[in-house]
Amino acid sequence: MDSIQWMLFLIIGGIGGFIGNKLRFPAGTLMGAMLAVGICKYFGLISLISSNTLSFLVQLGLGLTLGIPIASLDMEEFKKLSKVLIIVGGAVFIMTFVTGYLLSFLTKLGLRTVFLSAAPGGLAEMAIIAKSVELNSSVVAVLHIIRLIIVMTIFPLIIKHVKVRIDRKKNELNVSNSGRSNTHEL
Amino acid sequence: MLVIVEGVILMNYKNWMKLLLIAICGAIIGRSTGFPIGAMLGALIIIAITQRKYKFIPRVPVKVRRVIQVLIGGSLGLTFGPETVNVLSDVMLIALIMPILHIGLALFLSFIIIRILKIDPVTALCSMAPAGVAEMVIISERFKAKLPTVVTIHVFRVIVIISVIPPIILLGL
Repeated sequence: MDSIQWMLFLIIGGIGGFIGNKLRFPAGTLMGAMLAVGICKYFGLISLISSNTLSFLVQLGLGLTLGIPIASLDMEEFKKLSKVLIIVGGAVFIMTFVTGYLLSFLTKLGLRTVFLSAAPGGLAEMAIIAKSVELNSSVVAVLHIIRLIIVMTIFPLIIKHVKVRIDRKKNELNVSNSGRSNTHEL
Repeated sequence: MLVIVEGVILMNYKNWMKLLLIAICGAIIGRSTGFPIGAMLGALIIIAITQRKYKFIPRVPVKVRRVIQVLIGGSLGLTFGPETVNVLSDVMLIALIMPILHIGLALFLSFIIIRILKIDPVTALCSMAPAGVAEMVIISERFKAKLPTVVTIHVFRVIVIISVIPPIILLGL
């Protein structure tokens, strides 16, 4: 019975992940798998309960995928960017705790759940932490997914706008410089 | 024996087994500490140390990463229940306000690092975006931002989030 449930879990998660990835949503594979398994669990198609083994496997996988990029960080770049990184570190605290605290007045969720939801990144990590301390991990995951979708919709537009303005300024400078050099030649 | 994924010979089968064994050892040690995400931090730290010292581990192939993401997503899906749906209606307002606050703060920080540290605007924006590393790498490539800077800043952000924030939340509150 348990092995059938495990198979069902993997198949449904796999199909959901595949669809999420094909739809090109941010974190599409994870979101697709979560929604597919979540919907099946909600309607009682899956009766598997999250176990210590699954939690261990998930954490092992996360450690694996995060460990390698961290190890391959370029230390020269790291030193060069030290001032920026201090600002980034401070920003992470402000985004997590200040926005989290302010938003906690608008919801009945506990402070810890709001803080985990307000961390600027780490969808999988924050949701897994919430799950391991028996907070509402699905809510944490959904809030992170909504954040990712909104940020990934708005931010590229902002970057594009800035890039167009920079390119236009560069072109104007080039035109005025070439105009000046032509006048000199005359 | 070689593992072939998407037509590219990625790594020796022995290295894969070594990698897995090292990660499992780290995860077991981490778990024995009793910290809620001990297994993840244990695997992460031991892999990071091994990789920095011996450099035998190449990137995790995309397909393996997807399987891991399916496991993570699936395990989160298992926590869904009727109460999730009830709570979601309560959090819709903060779900919309939170990203707007994050975007506002990210724009403000980008402005600061552009002005004070003279980083080019596109790289600054790509680096400060409160989004996933993988997504921002794609966007940085599209807008020709300085990729090493973007990756370093995003990986650093993830390090801070997973190493500093959880102990504060779990032990301090």
